[in-house]
Amino acid sequence: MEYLVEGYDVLSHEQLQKVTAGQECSFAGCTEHCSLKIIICWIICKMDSSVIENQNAN
Amino acid sequence: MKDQNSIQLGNQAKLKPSRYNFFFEADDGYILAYNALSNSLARVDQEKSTLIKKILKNPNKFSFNTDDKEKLKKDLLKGYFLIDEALDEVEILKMRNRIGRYSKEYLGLAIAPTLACNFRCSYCFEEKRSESMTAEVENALIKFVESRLDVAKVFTVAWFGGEPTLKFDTIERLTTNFQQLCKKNNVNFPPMSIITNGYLLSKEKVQKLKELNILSAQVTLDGPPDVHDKRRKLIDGKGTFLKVLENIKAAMDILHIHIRVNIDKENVDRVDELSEIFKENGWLDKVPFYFGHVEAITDSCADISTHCFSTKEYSSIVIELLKKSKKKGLLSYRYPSSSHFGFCSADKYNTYVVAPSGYLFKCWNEITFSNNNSVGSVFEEDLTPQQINTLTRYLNWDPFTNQKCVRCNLFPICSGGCPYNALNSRKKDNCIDFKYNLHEMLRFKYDEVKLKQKAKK
Repeated sequence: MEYLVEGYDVLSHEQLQKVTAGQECSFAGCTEHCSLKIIICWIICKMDSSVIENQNAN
Repeated sequence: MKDQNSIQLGNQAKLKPSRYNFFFEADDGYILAYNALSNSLARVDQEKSTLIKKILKNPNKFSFNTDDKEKLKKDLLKGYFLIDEALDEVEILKMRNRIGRYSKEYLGLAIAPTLACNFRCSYCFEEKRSESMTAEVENALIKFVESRLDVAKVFTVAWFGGEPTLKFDTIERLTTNFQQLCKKNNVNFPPMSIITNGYLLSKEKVQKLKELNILSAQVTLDGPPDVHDKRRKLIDGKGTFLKVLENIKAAMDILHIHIRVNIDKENVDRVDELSEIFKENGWLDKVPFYFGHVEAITDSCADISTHCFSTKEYSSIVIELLKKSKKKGLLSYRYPSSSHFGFCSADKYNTYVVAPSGYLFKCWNEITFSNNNSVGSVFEEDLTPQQINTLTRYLNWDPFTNQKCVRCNLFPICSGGCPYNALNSRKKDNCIDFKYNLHEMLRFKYDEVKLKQKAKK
């Protein structure tokens, strides 16, 4: 089973910090009217809705 | 002890399949596995897929008697495809919803420094007004933020309007003050974003935005020049496409520019021509663009309702448009966002939309509504009974009382949908577009990840 995209629940603490600290979760993913949703999600570590693509998954 | 938000898998004495599993075939024959609770996507070959079906049918009678089968079990547990039998996934979602919505640990503001706009877009949801934030309101807003930062650990700001760049001086002053307050209170103040029509985004302004730590900008292009100019024109009726395009080109190396393409019946037949323009500019793999669903969300734009698609129609149109864009080289696709911790600013305790008057609202749609729809003011600590009533409507809105939503296997990525629509009965169908096109959207994402993996090798 090869994971291609990992939701935040699946991420380690280190991975979460990487996502929430930088640009990897972009608000480009948000097509809702309210982009504030993503801005908040982007930052709040455990409240984050971001995902990372596991490009090295195998 | 793990964080209370983590799903404890326990010793997995007894297992059951998640209620949020999706399995479907990709174009290359692999089976894609998606779980809406973990929001993870994986692929398996046909043989493993058959095995997974057997496991999920009766996990407690399945014999994990080889290393391969044990590994597969671990993989299924990782993405919550398989969970401890004792867990109630809906109750976990409910707990997270409460934690996220009622936390005071972050303060989020969407600030409109002005309601004035240099555009007259055909589908604008705002009433045409021109008031801007005065120095008195700016000072009261700074005090309001300061009063909340003793508890908040994170403070986020998004700028919108009207057209926010028309009041650039307000953005500069407020940002400088917010930065000082956050430093003083040791509050994390991450990069901000701005929603702008892009017309006034000169190189100097873009550079200034960067200096202010406003690093993301959403700009809208609605089709090729003639289509865009008919929908997004200046007050005097003149077109805006060429100027906006020019500004995007100049800004894209300095800011994260995201292009929104609003879709309705008026432009749907021509929007794919934008892909050609993006391709010519080398943007298809650089500048994220996404479609927006035009809806008649307020009385100000009620007259456009006949031009709008239903969510179901829109969902299928987006797939067709993406197929066309993909052929031209589009590389980036939207992926579901889990909304375990609330849907948006409207249903959270400590997030507000700030009008130039200093009145606070819960939803962006309400920015030009009467003050009777406000939930507070930066000038007053005490709320009026009417403001309390509006606030309680939003904060007490509970998607968990809607059994149709609770039973839906997309609930973790939707949380009942838009609170504004739900509370104001604006739409019969408050479901998100993924309800109708999840498999297709995930197939696009799969292809994107594969291409990126290939490029890395």
